[in-house]
Amino acid sequence: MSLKTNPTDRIQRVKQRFDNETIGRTVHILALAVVATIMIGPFLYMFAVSLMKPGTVQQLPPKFIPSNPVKWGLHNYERVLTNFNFTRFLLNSLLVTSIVTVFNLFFDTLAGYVFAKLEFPGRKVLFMTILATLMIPSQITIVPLYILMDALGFINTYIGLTVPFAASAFGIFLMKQFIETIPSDLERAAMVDGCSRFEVFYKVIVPLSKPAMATLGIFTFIGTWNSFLWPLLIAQDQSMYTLEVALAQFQGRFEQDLTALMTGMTLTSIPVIILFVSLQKYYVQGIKLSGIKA
Amino acid sequence: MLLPDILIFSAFVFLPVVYAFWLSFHEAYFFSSQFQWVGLAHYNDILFHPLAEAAGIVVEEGPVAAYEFLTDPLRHPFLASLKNNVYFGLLSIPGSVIAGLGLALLVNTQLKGIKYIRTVYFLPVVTSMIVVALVFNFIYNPTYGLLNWLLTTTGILNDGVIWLADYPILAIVAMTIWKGAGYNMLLYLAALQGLPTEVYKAARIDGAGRIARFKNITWPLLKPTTLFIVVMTTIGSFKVFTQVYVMTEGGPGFKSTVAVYYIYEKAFGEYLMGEASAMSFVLFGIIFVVTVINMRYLNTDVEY
Repeated sequence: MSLKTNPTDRIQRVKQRFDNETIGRTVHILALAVVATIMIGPFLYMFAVSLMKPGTVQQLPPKFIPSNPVKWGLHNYERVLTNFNFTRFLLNSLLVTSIVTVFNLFFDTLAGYVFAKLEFPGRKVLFMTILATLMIPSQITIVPLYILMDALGFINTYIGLTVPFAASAFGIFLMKQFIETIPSDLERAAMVDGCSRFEVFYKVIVPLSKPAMATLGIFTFIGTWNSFLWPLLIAQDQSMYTLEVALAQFQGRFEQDLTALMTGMTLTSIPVIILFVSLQKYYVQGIKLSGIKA
Repeated sequence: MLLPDILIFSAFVFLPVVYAFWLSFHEAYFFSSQFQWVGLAHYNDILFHPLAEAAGIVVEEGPVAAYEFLTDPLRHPFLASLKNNVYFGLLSIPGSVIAGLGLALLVNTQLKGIKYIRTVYFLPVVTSMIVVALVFNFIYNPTYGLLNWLLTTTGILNDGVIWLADYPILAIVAMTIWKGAGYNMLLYLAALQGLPTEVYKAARIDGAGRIARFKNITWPLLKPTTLFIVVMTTIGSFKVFTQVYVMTEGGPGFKSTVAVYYIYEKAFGEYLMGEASAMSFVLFGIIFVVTVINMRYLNTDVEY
């Protein structure tokens, strides 16, 4: 190709490029839409079924659009919220998740501060030991933990559901990484002004650590809300079921009443989805932090 | 100030691990107060004996016969369950990498509203495994499920398939890949956005096309991220539980019984805590070895 080209050729080439770009962009947007459909389809399906009249689910083709709007509606939600003890499970889930989240925010931030800012013998070893626990699959500890909880009489109690998860290695690591970036001069100034160590912690460190705490909070909340194996073992009475356990345990019973099951599932997912969408920024930060090479 | 954390970790992590180790040398039936010391018997039963016998079979009948002997669910249910984990891993590792990278390349643009698309792609990650598994139970349903209906109306299949009975592992893996794709997408996206633009410019000037640029620049530079995802997916495939519990209960037969599900059955179905603990440690050993091997490769830094 020579460098000297006549203008009409150039116009042709620009046009050609423009066309290619438009085609490329259209294909791109189409691909995005198709994948979005695949990613969100199951959720829409779940939601659609939750609005159907019981007994119309087993129809083919599956109906996403109501043929008879009168038959559709929120009556399943009414049914589920009044008949199935659903509010009790919801409260259990909320209570357990809130307690675990608050515990973690407090203990992990405190430990993160100590590991980040205080010098004491054995600091490194202790921190490494705590990090090493991340390698241990929870399945190993679940059998002895269960025996322990049984011996202590914590089966079917909120203590058994929450206390074992009051601190997490991931949380301590996250908070330590963040608190290390806070300049030590601020603490020294506070110390000079006569603050105790603990006062420094909650007057200086905690206010400055809010973004990291938001990340930790949302991570812990979503993780606990969705946890299953432990609550399944501990909550043996129906009155102690969390939403996750209730859904799994009732799935057989709902074989004939899928609309109720899908309604329960929709209600279970809504809090997490709302939380995630509103605090997305902090959640994504957490992933980027955990995805770095340790 | 550290005391509460140390207490929590000691009580709920360190102590249980030590206790589990102690249990694995005992015949520990949950409802009897007396646990009997049996030494290495559990480890022998689930690991050493079968391996020793298999070694003999290799010599006599060849490796295939030995493999079949080892993974026979009637003789060695735990090893057979591990085989299911390996299948799970072999399917989910490439699947997760491809799905994650594919989505990342798709959303790595400046288009308007791409933020919302990324959020949508990420929704399965934050939704609970139980909910997702129950929805997919419904999608996979042979008579009124969405998937069979889609495949038969578009003419891809003539008759519906009983997914969870005929291909349980495949069906569960497909769902798991779908659920985790958004997470892997984010990891890849972060890596893609950190790539040096000069290299691409240089490649363009050299006349490298899209595919050549991807093959020779993007893919090699993404290696650390890929390795990270491979490690996480490998570990994850040995820890699978919830999906199996909800969707197949390990069935049909032994087809989808994975290690953790088998341990769960042993411990909380048959109350054989000692055996279950020994199996947990074998599983931990496997995960540990896999992790260490991967970590050695993980520290290969890319140079440009």
